[in-house]
Amino acid sequence: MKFLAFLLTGLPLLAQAPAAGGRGPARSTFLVSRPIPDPAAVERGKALFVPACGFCHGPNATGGEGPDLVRSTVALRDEGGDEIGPVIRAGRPGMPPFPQMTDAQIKDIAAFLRNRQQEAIDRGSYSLKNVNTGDPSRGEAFFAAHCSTCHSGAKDLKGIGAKYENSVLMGKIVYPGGRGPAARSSVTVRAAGKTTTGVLEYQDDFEVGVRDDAGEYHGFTRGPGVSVAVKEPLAGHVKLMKSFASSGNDRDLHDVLAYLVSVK
Amino acid sequence: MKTFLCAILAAGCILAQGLDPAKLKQLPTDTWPSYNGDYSGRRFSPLKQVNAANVGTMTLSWVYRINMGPNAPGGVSMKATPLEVNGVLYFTVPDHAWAVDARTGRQLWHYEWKSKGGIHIGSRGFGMYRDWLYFETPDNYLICLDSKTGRERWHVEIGDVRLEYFSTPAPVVIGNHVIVGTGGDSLDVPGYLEARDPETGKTQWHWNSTPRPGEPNANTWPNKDAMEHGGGMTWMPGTYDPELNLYYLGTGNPNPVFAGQGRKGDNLYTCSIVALNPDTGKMAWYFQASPHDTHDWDAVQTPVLIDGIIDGKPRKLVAQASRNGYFFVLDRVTGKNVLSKPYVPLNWSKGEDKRGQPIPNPDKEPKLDGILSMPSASGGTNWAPPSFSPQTGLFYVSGTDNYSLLFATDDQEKPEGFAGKEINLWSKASLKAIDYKTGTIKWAHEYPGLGGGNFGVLTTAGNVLFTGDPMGNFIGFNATSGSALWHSKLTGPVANGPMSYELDGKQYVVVGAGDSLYAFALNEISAARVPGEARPRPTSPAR
Repeated sequence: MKFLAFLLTGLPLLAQAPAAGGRGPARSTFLVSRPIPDPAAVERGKALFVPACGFCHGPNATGGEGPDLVRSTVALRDEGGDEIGPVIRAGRPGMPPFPQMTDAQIKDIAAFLRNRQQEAIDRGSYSLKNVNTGDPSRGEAFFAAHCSTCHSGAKDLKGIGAKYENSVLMGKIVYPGGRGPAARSSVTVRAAGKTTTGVLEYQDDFEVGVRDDAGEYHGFTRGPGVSVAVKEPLAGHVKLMKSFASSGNDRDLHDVLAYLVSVK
Repeated sequence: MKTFLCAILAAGCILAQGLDPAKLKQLPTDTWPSYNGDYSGRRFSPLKQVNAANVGTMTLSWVYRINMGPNAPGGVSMKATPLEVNGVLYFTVPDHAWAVDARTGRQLWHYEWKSKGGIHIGSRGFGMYRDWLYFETPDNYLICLDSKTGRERWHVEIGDVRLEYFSTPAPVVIGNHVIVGTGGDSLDVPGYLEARDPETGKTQWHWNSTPRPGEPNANTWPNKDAMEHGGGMTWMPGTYDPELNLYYLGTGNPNPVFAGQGRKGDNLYTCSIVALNPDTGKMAWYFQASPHDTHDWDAVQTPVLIDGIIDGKPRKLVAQASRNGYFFVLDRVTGKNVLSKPYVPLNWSKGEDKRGQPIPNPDKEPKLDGILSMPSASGGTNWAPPSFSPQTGLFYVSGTDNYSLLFATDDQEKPEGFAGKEINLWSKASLKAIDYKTGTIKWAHEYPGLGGGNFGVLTTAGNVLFTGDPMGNFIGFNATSGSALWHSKLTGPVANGPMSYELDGKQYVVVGAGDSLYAFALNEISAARVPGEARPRPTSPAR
């Protein structure tokens, strides 16, 4: 029974194609400060680990009958097999010895475990599942009621579902800001009897910067006699964002996503 | 007679030797001897040479730009609050420490630590005991330097970098204890706080921020593995009440960070304010700001000590503007809740339980299909130090209204690490003045435009509040009304908590931004300096 469980969980992993040779995973050097193991060694180590160790430690080394080796202090303190090697060869109470393992094989297993640890550590490398759980027909009704003043599934948003990953599209439904032209505010400054209109390029409590149509920058000091009128292009989205956020659950948002994903 | 003479000699000797320990318990005037200036965490300077009437004439006295040598990494930011002792400023960035003349910004020494790794995200500065300085490194060493020379006296390991710990807090010195904490939530390791001996660095006590099997509140975790890998990092300096002899500390988030399915329960003492005896490490009480957090909302924000009045009665209070968006006031003798009230819009709480602790809404935990989080994981505020002015009775915090999508990335029974991802959408920074008696926002100053960020706050007896804005201005506000009185544009946003000290009759206000420290003072004040006199000048007992 246990063996069957092992086969069921282990086989799909064994069946996975090895990573393209030569290049390691792109790791964040900010988050990961230890050496990144050679991908070929990781693959060899995995091929050794899964049948020999995966039964107790789990095929992903996250534990089962035996300890989780992603969190294990022995495995984390290991360098090239120096800590795990003696344990593998001699065994432990409840763990059989593997005296036949060569130094090279132990090094490969150490590389596999280091890679598993770094997969957990390097949060930038996590992949989103991009699941879509919403109801497209409810989403279409919500869209008609709240979004159709500015947007249309047949016009400006035609084909949008194929353009973005679900998670990115979900963010854009809430607030499509970023630094693109759509998010840029326009501004009109009236000072000393003169009116300047353009793109709002800079603002704080003391200064306002306007880039006019000719590309010239005009800086103003705020104060009496200086009026600044900023037009936020995404005010509607800010309102929508606040209403989504206050609703207590994310059903409407998921439904609109499901609808937009379905828009061809 | 002999004893008396010895006592005088001993006292004189102490005063000539670096930091007089008595200064740690006084209001910060000519000395800023610890991260928050004094043990209360109020960051209130009693100085008033610079005040609401004249701050408009304040100008730059000096700038010190850090120089880490030819192999220096880019993007280093000055998160440390400098200490100022006997006319010298002491501060750190990861792996580096400096002493500069507090009157001129001239460098006196530079120390560099050869790192073995760890996340180089920040260093919040020094703790000081007499002549000796203590700071922590990304690879988790506590380093003791001689303040006169910058030479290393010793170093001891306080955490294992191979387990993904990294250390950022400024050590806090209480009596003969150097209190050190650590951080690190990349993998699932347990948090702890330690007291180290100032002479040797040896461990005096060790407090685990999660229980072990059989200990009280172990039942807030599903099993041994979860509690022993449950996080609760101790990455900010705490505060201290000498009368009660209690050290107040905010603890970090539980691990795995964004996934709670492997750690069902409240997960004590993560995301909590705890009161510890600094002599023994024994916990007197706890209050949990975020039971079963799944949003990275550690409750490490400074627990600020307020001697206030509630319902007409004088009370010893502790207040925190927590990362989860709540403002909490507790009785600091008992830990009993006085008030819990959001200071930014939030959508994750279903109200508060009878202890005053928020009740998280399970619908707002990160999910595979994403949730809209308000505030985002960076929180209503973050680690930037707040301030409390006893003159206005207001608690000031640099707050951010923000929104993000939070996704679970690991839905297995036992997830690991962060186990989730965030997409930030929208943020807006503001300065909020909160009435500690009611939790109501007396005034809020919204900075124009979008963009978040949290900036340290200092208040002064001159009724000026100093802080930063998202565009890199260092601003002096009227602490009562919130109107801006003065500003100076720095080369980057304020990165630390501003501080202030007076030397030779001149009040300086010092702030860190980017890779530089900036010192400001009133334009018309010329400090009384004696030609030929050696600087920095040690404080003599007669002064």
